[in-house]
Amino acid sequence: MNSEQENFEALRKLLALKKYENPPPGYFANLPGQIWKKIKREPAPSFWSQFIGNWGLHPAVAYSFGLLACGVLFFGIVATLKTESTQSIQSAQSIPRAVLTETAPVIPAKLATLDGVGMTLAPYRSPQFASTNPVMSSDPRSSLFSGLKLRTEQVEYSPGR
Amino acid sequence: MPWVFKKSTSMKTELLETIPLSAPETDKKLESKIRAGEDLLLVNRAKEDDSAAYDDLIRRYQERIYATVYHMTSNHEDANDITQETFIKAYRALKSFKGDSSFYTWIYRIAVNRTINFLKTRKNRVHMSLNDVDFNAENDPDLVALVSDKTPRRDLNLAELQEKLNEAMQKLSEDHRMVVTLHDVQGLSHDEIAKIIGCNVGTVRSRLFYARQQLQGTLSDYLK
Repeated sequence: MNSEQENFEALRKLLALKKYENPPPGYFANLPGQIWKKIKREPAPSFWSQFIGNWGLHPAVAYSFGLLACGVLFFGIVATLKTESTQSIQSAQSIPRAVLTETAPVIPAKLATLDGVGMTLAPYRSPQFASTNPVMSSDPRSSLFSGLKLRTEQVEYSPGR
Repeated sequence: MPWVFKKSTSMKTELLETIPLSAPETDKKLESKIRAGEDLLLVNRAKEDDSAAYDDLIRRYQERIYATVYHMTSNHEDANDITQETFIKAYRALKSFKGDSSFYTWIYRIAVNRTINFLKTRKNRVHMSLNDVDFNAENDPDLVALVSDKTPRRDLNLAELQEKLNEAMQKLSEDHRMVVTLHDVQGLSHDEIAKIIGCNVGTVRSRLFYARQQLQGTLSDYLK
């Protein structure tokens, strides 16, 4: 330990040599003048460049700003997703039934009306993209081997008299 | 807490200093407090567009700031540029200086950050442009002893030793070089360095120890 300290002492003496490294004579006499010249020549930086420039001086400000920016971005994304899902639910709910029944294609009566069990099914007007139950497609089958084309569609049930 | 009072001729006790002083305070600390007080007055005047006050501040710190940057870069031109940038930046940011730390710490911090940023961009393109060694070095008994007795090559002159020393310094990381520069070359205390760099005193001590060990290894031929 002692020799280590002695060695550090020798190192410190060697490092002291650096104190004798001086700039050319007259350098410090002219330096303030050069600084003032630059201050007067260069326009003051804008708020943003000053703000960003301060990051080097106050790293905490930089970290806080970064954190804030990430937070804003995150909440922005979350808010956007939330709004989109709410809008899609609202738009689905806000389509008036009357409109749906008016615009939806009418299934031919011969397919929709079944009178065998003592009840009558009203002609069904299906909303195009709001299906919940499978109904038989009204498209004519191209061949015997193509399977039954079932698709789910919302049905309105009204008991017959 | 004792206060320093001065009795005026009119027998009125007048507060000499508003800074409370604890008993074992050293002269150095007192000196630095006085200096900080003077700096604060100059800063306040400079904030009110008194250019003479800022000129005084430049003259007060230009040598220390330049030396710090120079020992970090081992290049006079780079040190000149960064020193000027530091004072310009400080002048522009003077309004935001609240006095939480001393002006001395604040301006040093600007210089240190600018230097480290510069060194990061300059990485792997070290070009030394060393200043001449002052002729007073030849009269420094420690250095004379090092050059004449301890070096393996007795004919080694100061300029060569200076070059070897700067090469060894450039091999250190920026953080380690900064601590060695501020402590062993500039003579700042651990506390002051910790405030400037923004870390705790323990970190400063460990960096200093590691940097010295590394320098000792690199310069072993000159330390025997």
